[in-house]
Amino acid sequence: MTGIRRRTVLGAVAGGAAAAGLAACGGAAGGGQGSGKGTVVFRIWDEEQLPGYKKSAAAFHAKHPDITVKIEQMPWEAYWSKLTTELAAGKGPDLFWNTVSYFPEFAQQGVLVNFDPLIKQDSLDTKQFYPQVLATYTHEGHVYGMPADFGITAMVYNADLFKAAGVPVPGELTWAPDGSGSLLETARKLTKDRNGKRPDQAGFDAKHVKQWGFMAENHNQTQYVNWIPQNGGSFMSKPFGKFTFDQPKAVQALQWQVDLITKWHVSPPPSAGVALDLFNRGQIAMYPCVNAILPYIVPKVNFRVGVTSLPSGPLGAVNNVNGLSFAMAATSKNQKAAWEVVKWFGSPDSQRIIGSGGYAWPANKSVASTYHDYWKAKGQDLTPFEKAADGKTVLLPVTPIWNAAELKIDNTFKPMFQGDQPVGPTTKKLATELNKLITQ
Amino acid sequence: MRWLRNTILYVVLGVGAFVCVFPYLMVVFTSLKTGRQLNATSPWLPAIPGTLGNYTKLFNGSIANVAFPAYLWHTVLLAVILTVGQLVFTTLAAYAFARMTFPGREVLFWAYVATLMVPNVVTMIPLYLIMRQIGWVDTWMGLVAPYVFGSPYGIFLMRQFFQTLPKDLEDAARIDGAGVLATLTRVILPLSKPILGTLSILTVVFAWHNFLWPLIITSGDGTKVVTVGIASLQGNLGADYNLMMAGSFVALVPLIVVFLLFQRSIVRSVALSGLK
Amino acid sequence: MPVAVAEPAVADRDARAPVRRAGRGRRVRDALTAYVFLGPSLFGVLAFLLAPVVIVAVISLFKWNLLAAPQFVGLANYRRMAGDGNVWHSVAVTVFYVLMTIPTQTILALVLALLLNTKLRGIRVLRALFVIPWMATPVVMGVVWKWIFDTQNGALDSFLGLFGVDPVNWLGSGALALPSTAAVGVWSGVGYTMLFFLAGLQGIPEPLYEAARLDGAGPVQQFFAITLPLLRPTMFFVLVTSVIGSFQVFDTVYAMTKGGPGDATSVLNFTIYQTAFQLFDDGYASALAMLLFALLLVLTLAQVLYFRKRTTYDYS
Repeated sequence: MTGIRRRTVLGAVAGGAAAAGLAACGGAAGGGQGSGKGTVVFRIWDEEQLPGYKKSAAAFHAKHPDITVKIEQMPWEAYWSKLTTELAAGKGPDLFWNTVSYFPEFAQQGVLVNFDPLIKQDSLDTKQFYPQVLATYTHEGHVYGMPADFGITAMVYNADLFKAAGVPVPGELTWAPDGSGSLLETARKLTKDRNGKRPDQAGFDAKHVKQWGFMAENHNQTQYVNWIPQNGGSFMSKPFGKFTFDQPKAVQALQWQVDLITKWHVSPPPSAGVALDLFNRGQIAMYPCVNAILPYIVPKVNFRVGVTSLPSGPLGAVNNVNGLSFAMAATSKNQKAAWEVVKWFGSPDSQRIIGSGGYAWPANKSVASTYHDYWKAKGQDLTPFEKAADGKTVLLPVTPIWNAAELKIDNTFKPMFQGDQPVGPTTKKLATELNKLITQ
Repeated sequence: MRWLRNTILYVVLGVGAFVCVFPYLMVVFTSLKTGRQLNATSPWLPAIPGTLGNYTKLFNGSIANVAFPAYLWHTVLLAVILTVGQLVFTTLAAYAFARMTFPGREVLFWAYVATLMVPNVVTMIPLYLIMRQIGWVDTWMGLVAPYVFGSPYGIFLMRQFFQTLPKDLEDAARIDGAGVLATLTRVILPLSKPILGTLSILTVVFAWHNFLWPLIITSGDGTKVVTVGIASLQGNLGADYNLMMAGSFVALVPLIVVFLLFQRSIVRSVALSGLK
Repeated sequence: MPVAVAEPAVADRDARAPVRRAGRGRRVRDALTAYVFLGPSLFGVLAFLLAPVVIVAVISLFKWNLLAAPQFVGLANYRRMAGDGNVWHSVAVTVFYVLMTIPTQTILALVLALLLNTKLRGIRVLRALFVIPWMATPVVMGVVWKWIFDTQNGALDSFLGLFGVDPVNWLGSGALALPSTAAVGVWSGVGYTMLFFLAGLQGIPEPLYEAARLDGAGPVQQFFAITLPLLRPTMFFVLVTSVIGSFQVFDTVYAMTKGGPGDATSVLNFTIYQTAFQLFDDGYASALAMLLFALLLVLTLAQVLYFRKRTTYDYS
């Protein structure tokens, strides 16, 4: 390598660094730059929601003819790789959908615009949003995202299987670590092996089960993140804190979930296939899920679907909530106009478009009912989801390493849920490793 | 005896072909099912009666944003540009590496090959930084530039092939007074049809499947390619399998056509014997 | 007709021969012509392929989380790597993956190329069928392979069930996950590799076989005496590139197992991806990429030396 080339290379690296540094500085101020006119680029990943946002953007443009919103849809598959690359180069969209997985790192690194001064300047009422979504996108007391939508857990069931088994449609089911409670009892009645035998009958063939009563999926959001607090434990100590899923109460809840699969045989092991596919094929009676998955179930199945509450544990019901936010990149050259767009997307007017089209459950509480009306018209009563939203809730883990941690947890829990690894030592080892990663 | 040999050959090849094609058969079957049929049949069995609905949906623009015909067109364009670039520049470079003498030849060649050894997961960001510096982000230039000037992979392939050609042919041409370029086009290239065919197929398929780079470097709908369109049908919660697989099958058909066209030049028994 | 079977070293000799005869002016002119031929690719490769690699090497000396300013840390990333058990586990997994794929894939591809090089009715269609796995959209094949491998409705376990075999947990068991992903790797790579051998076979002059037949050589002898030696340049290319590709396996693993269960399939390239884009530790990811680069460099060099050592054949 020649001296000249080396300098060029270092120059390019430095160029990137300078851009990144610029991004870091931009995080503190915000909203000041730009003429307040022109084009605002907004990035999302969900092509199903794209028509809704196009409608909303058109409505916005009618009100603000000098600002045009350009929506870019990128597949989820590489959405974050692309965004990260762009942000590293100091480029990228003005606005983008943000999740709890990426928020902590982005907020810490000053990639996002702090909305506090803007909220204050326009005396925007943040109480119109679900407080959990707002809390998710708050870092050190500052808000870095406009709540976009709301998501919560509940359970769908296969009404035909209940009817065939002569079991009444599930109401509020209960569970306890020792296997007592109505959930296990109900699930047993709905589990059958290939000879039609139930798990509590002699000669039940656990290797060839054709239908399961309950889906104990290897999934944080719809499963153990709920069960752990329902048993008095915690998955993570606090936002930006440490993982605590190796503590006794949490281990007990996880052990219960393992037992559903390996001891009581009312749930399939992770190797059986994708949970959603199994439910849609009519092989699962009860399936804990988030509301956003309904479009992937209701129009595609050959049985009647009902919605009910998530089972509740020894300490009662606790549901996991989650929501997306609209984030503004600190690199945006047009922050003034972008803020107008963000304000619009958070407003009841825009969120009504999204809710009434059934695209998503609005994070703006005042128009949340539009989403429920949409599903009512489709024959689904979402009351259990609404009830959960009013009850005790828990956030998804907020930590800068969540992306890597989530994958590690999934991979490590998989053999655990198959009964190949013991819960106690597995969780202890994993939590220690992840907590070390947080401090690294 | 001969028929026995042929029968065995057919059976062996048939079984192998079945193993190769079976997973793809599932793609075709799924693309011909409705969402409900998908959940009512085994994934490896067709649904009767099937539906062409997924294919119509891809092309009548009823799916949000998936302008499939436009994406196909962009992919075709990309494939054509890259293939032409590859054929011209790769041939020139490979010929230089195989047959010409110049200082730094070996070092340079292995530097080319070395670029294959670093995963693009990490080179992506520096490459993006370079493109930003030049101002080629979100342009066709940025999309094709890393590949159109000849890829080290293709150059390696061609160099290996050129080295197997008998040198006397060129010497004879040179003695007859032909220049380097004339030797290349009149003597070498006619002999290189199999490898040029292979290179073309490689490039077309590569361009066809290129996913990450088009996604990173471009954002607009004006450059979206088919792979990106198909990936859009898979969300973070669920996927529209039927549509995805219909899209995948539509994307495969042109490749098979290209393959059938080019395989004539790949496999020809005339080879060198006709030139004695 | 003399056929010089050129190999990396032989090529040097071939090319140098006329130069010795030529004068200095001729040499300069030849070199200039060569650079003109190389020009476009030189620009493309230097600017868009080699420069990023060099930048990655530089970044490996920094602590950079992609979003804030990089910090020079010298060799700290490499020191950390030396003591990082996960990294060495990844290296081991990758090596196992390569050992499972490369020999199988290469031998199968060669056999296939020989079989498909015959003149049979319908041979063209058969050839096309064998390359379909390589032409299929990777994202979609990931979905399909999961359908094949799952224990409940999976095609494979259902098929084995016909013979009374209990469901096998292909992707979920620590022992089988890697071989299963390797099998998919072979599935998608065989037809592709076969193409090179097929093209290589076309370059072998028919008279050689005729002569061998006259000498009474059977098909097996012909294969080892003519086909295999004359395929060596192709073999060299195939081995070098498929070892490089196999060491960088990512798509299949990402689509089917995401590195699991546990860390049974966490190949090096997957670890690099995670480190860069999920842990935002691009400096360390770059150091890991340099490790992969060093491994491949050594392996490629070994292959160059191995192929160079073999004798040159001259059929006069």
